[in-house]
Amino acid sequence: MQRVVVIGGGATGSGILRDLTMRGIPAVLVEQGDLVHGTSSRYHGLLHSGGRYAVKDPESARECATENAILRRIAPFAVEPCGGIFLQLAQDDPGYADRWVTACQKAGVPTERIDIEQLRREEPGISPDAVAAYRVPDASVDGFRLIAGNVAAAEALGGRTLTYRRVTGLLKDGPRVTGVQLINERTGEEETMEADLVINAAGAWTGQIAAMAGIHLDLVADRGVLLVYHGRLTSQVINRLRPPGNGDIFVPAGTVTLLGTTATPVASPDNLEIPAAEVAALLRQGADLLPAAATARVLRAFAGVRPLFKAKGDGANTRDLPRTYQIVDHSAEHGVAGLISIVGGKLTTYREMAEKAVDVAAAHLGVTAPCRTALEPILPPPDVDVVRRVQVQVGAAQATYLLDRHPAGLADLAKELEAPLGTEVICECEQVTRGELLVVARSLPQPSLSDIRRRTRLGMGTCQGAYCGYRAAFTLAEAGLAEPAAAPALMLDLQEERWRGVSAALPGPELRGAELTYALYAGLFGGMKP
Amino acid sequence: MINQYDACLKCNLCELHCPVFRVTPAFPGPKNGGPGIERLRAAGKAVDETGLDLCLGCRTCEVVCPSGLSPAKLVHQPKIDKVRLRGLPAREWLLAHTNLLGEVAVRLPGVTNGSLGLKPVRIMMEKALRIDRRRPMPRYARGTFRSWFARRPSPWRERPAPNGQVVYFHGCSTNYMLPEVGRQTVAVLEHNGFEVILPPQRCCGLPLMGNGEIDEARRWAAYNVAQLRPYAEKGIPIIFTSTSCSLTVKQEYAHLLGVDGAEAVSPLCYDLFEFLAQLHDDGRLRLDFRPSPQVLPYHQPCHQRVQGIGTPAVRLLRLIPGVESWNMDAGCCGASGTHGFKREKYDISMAVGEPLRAALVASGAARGVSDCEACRWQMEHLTGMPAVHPITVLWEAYGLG
Repeated sequence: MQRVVVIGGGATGSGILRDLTMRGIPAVLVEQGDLVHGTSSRYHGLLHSGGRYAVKDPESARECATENAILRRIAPFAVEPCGGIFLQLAQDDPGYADRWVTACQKAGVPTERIDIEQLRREEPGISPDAVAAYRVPDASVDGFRLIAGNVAAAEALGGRTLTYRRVTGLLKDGPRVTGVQLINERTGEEETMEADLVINAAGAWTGQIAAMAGIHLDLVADRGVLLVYHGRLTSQVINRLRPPGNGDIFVPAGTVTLLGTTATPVASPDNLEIPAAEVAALLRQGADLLPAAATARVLRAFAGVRPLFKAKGDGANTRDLPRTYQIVDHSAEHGVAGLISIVGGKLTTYREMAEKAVDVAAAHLGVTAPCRTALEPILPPPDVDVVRRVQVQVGAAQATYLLDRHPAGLADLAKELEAPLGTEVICECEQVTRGELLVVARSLPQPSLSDIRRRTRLGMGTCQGAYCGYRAAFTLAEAGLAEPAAAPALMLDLQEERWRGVSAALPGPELRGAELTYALYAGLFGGMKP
Repeated sequence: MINQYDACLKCNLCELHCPVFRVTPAFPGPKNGGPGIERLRAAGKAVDETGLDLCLGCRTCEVVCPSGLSPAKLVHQPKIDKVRLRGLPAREWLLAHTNLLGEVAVRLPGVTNGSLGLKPVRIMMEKALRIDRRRPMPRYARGTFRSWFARRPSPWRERPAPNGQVVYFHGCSTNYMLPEVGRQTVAVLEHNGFEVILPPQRCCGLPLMGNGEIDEARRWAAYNVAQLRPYAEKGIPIIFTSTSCSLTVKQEYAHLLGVDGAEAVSPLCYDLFEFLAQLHDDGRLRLDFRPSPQVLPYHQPCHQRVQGIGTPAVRLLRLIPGVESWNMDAGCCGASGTHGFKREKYDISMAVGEPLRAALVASGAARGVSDCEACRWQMEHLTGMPAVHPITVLWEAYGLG
């Protein structure tokens, strides 16, 4: 029997799974959707330096600064060390910059004043109103890769992961939680799973899980809308040097650039609506920093929900709520044994959150092994021989994409690429080959194209799945990984998911692309509801 | 910064029309090779540029792109960067300096043509320079077009030409290899009441640009602009008989090369048949053609199509009583200036030209017509039948021979 069930396949949950297995505690992770179903894939991809919180929330800033350095070391496969800039515009309060520099110093966030003309050479797109700039160690971090890395590391040590399992209730023995009740979202089957301890790391859904034990947690679901630009608007993270607000962070990530965010409290963590007014506000405010942001091509918009923890006396404005986290030991606080919840927090500090949560869990389980997650790289370096085989198949340039995307599980990838037609490109925009598609599909039970998309970037580029969608669906059917009759549904499922994000951000060049896609799927294939 | 690649919708129209993409999987195609790779490169990734070099520069992708992109220019950029770093390789240098070689060759045409026709010489050239031995070399003329022009008396010495003056930009091939095209052009223009002016000029620079040598091309362009500008400012039309020259001076001097004053010259530039067709529209073209029953399949050069001027040669050839002429619309001929000479591109060049070969053969005609000398050489090589500039047909019909 597993000793611990972890609820939530996001950064925190996967970090906890890795930490538990490294301390020799058998554990299984359950996730209601695919890995990173929730907020861990629905954010700007910023690995915070801590600069953003230095003035108002120094504790968060300090945590970010420490964890930023650790993650660069242990998760190089997920971090793009692009660096970051805090940019002060002529209209911004110059007094804030001084307070910010002092606060950063106190919180241990390194800053370096740089010449604005030097910055214009590095980033020709910045506003003509920029008057001062500071360099910070911001970076961009791929949520999916990070979590997949943690899961792969845990699985190598015997940990297990079950996706598409939604928790419907907690098993109880008197006041004690003894396991979870699950429903398999793919088959509809109900399952139960007993455990010595349940760790609730459900992110924005943490309150709902705690409620199953009759516990009320004062959480706020704070929805943020973000925009994805088609290409690179900058080469570094660009923050606005002012109190955190809407539309003041640009994060370059791979082929795209993200602009975030807004902050709107919502009733349910499932509320991922994208109000047009918030998109318009982002475009307007983003253009203050980078004027081209107003007219550059926006691929899509998306929303994520921050799980914020509201302490007594905190006000209504969610921008003012702290970004720190708390480990709630329900046996001590609510008299419910066998359940630990993690509330609040952010992706940058996921490892520390996991460490603190597992410290509490280990104490309950009588395990004394210390945490080693900050000391060891999450994944071993890729096998040189396998890397060479991949390079032989697709060339050195193409191999770099594949190595980035699949830090674990390369051996199977090499084999799949060596198969006939293995190197044929299915998704041109993001350079996904048939071999990559098949190796990922084979690793998943009943894969949807969105599951594959998260692991490969298939359909996340210029055409938003217009061409790779049908190619991928038919390739899966051809390889026996999907029923031929189900291929059209696979294809339309991806299209409808993509369409939600595209339709929310339609102005400009993207509209023409969307109309072309719509004509293809509605006209030629006879599917898709606009 | 707004990125050019943002405009691409991946609609695939360019791939559908690309003559190279159709015949070889080695070419990534205008969509992936242009905006696709450009976007990946911007992400700071190493990108695979293998095969981009196979682009013929026909710019069909630019003609068909509904988003107004020029994929060809994005495809071409890595070559420009490479040449800037390492200079032109020997073969590319030779092929791109037609004018310098021409000066020597026209003095010894017998020796030049003779030795370029010798098998051992071609084998040597293929080994040393990778210039394909199967590709016939253009033959150099006995004396340049310019020396002929300088020797002859102008018919308008005594009185001004009734229709005014035109400037003639003959280009390298007319000067060194096909002076008859120049002579016929001058004869037809004078027959229509124009005085022809021949300012000093250098190669337009297209062979250099096609091989990635932008900086030298810019110097030549600046020279040509300096020569042409005074005439342009007086409103005197500038006529071209080579469509690649006309495209380059009209568009690239200002766009790709950014030469000062090019905008002043460009509006006065006309492809010869564009000019003659306009003359006809104004009712000023002489129509004293002799009946001449013949079938004339016409091939439009890609570099004329991209100018967006229709097919004026077909319109005018049809004015000649008895002429049956039509645009074969068989796509790119595959020669693309200097590309077809290169060993590694010869087969692709022939495969691209296959539809044109089939159309020419099917026409049953005795000769084909095209405004571009490289296209005509390729037409002759593909079929063994002669190909002429449309001005030759007009000149014959006027009875000026």
